[in-house]
Amino acid sequence: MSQEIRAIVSGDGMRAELIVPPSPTRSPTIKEECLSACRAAGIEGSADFAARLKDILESLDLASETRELVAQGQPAQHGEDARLEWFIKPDRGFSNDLANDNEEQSTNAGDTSHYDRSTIDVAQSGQVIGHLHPVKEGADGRDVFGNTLAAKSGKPVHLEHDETIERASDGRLIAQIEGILKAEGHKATICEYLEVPENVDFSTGNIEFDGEVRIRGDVKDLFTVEASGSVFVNGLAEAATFVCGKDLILRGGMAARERGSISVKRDARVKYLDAVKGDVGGNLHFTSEVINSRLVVHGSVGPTRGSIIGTTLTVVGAVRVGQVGSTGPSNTRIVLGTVPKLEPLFDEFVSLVEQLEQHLESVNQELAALKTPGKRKTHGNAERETELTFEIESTESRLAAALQERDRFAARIEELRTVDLNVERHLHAGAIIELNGRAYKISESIRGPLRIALGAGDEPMLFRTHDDPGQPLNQFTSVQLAA
Amino acid sequence: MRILLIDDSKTMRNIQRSILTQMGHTEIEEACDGLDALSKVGGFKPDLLLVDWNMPNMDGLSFVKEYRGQGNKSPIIMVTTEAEKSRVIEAIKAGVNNYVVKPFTPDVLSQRIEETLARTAAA
Repeated sequence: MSQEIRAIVSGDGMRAELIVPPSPTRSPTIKEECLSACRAAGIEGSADFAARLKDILESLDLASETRELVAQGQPAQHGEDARLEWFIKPDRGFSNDLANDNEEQSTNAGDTSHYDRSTIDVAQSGQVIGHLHPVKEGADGRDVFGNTLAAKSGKPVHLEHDETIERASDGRLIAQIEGILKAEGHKATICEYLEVPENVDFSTGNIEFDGEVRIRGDVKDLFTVEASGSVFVNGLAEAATFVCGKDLILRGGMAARERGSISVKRDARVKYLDAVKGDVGGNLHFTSEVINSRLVVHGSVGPTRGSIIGTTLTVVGAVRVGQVGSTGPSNTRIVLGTVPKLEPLFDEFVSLVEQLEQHLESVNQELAALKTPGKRKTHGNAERETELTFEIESTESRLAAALQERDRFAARIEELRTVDLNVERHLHAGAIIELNGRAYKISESIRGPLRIALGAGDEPMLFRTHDDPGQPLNQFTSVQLAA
Repeated sequence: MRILLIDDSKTMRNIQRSILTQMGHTEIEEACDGLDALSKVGGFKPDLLLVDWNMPNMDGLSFVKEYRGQGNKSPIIMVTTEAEKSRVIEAIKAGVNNYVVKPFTPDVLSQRIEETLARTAAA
């Protein structure tokens, strides 16, 4: 067995050990022998190596074999790939992942409404919606032989985005508009409208969006869709709630079973409405029918060949429909010549004017009493007289403003008020036309085309044709005071 | 312009404030008697004072004398039920610049205020 000084290098070249056998005396050339052994093993003579060798020689115990680490390599630090991190959930078409996320939340959720579990994240303008982490550079290593161990470089991520997203110099991704983040692969944008490719149901939760909403599927029972813009539904709307800042388009119609409602700021265009409660700020257009519903329409209805059956329809503008009522019993009521948005305000001003007039009368009476000839002018009376004079002036000014507003509303109501019901095919017996505070119940079905409008002296008339001078509506109806 | 209203009646102060607001004045402070007013004039430094005569603690005339005694020059309008000529002369001697007798109408008060401010500006 050899008793020479040796150096052994590990297989990966990252560690080298110096082995010094026991010896009765310390050789005067031991340092050179060690250096020679290391050189023979190919170990690089670095500063670290020199320091380690010095330590080994100083603590060398010749009584037994010494085995010490004399050189150590430096592994390469590989670079890190660039990474795209989204802080809000990108819309990738409501994949199964999203549905599963939702299911998980539901399980842990206790008594929170499952309908409220929206899976849609809306980016706000100025919000930091993500971060593009850059490539992290690596550092090369070295083995004990002095060979370079090359570090691997990180891979970059190329994100393509438009002006709806700004990339800050530190990698932050900032939304420039409010909307839905759409991110697929390396492309990202923010969409001003929300597209729901399937149904609105437990996989989406209720929808609340500041913008336009497009739903390709149905809107299921008891879900709410609320949008500041228009709402389009391609499928069927069940007993859902719609609140639209602009238009509502229900291409598949709505079967609400008396539990669904619509509140539309502008126009509603629907296939049909069944048992729907609602308020339409603009015009209502339907293609087949409106049945068993209660609607207030602030614009006009139609033109359509469709039917209004079992419905109470209060309408500000003209109505042009195919049929009103049905052959069977149906509680169909068309309320004409009313302006529901303005009439409550007008009533408030009427009441305010009355109150101010009464107050003015009582203050004037008190002042007249104070000014009665011969009545002693005390300091208190003089002060009260000042107060009453001021009160009269201020009340008169408020009264003048209230009268002006009341008259303005009256004129506007008169301007908007329309009595113009056109029925193309049938106005059925039992249907009620309510106008001017009276309910006109059709006695026998009348074939169209016909028109009901106001004649001379505001008398409701029924016209058969364009040139028809018309006949009073009460000849075709029984008349009662409207409820 | 800073205006101090001194009257023991809150209603009267409200009326005066309302007239002044309609005239475009917004920096308005109120005091409920002469003593209260004296405690406020140092900090508020009014440019115009509307003073009632009959008030508890310190009446309007005593306040005017004290205020002028301190060397203050801002114009004062006495707004009061004291209509006798001798009383008006007494107030003017004490340093009041103008006089409004209650009952007054909003027009009369605003006219007196404008008159007083115009005179002060011209002086």
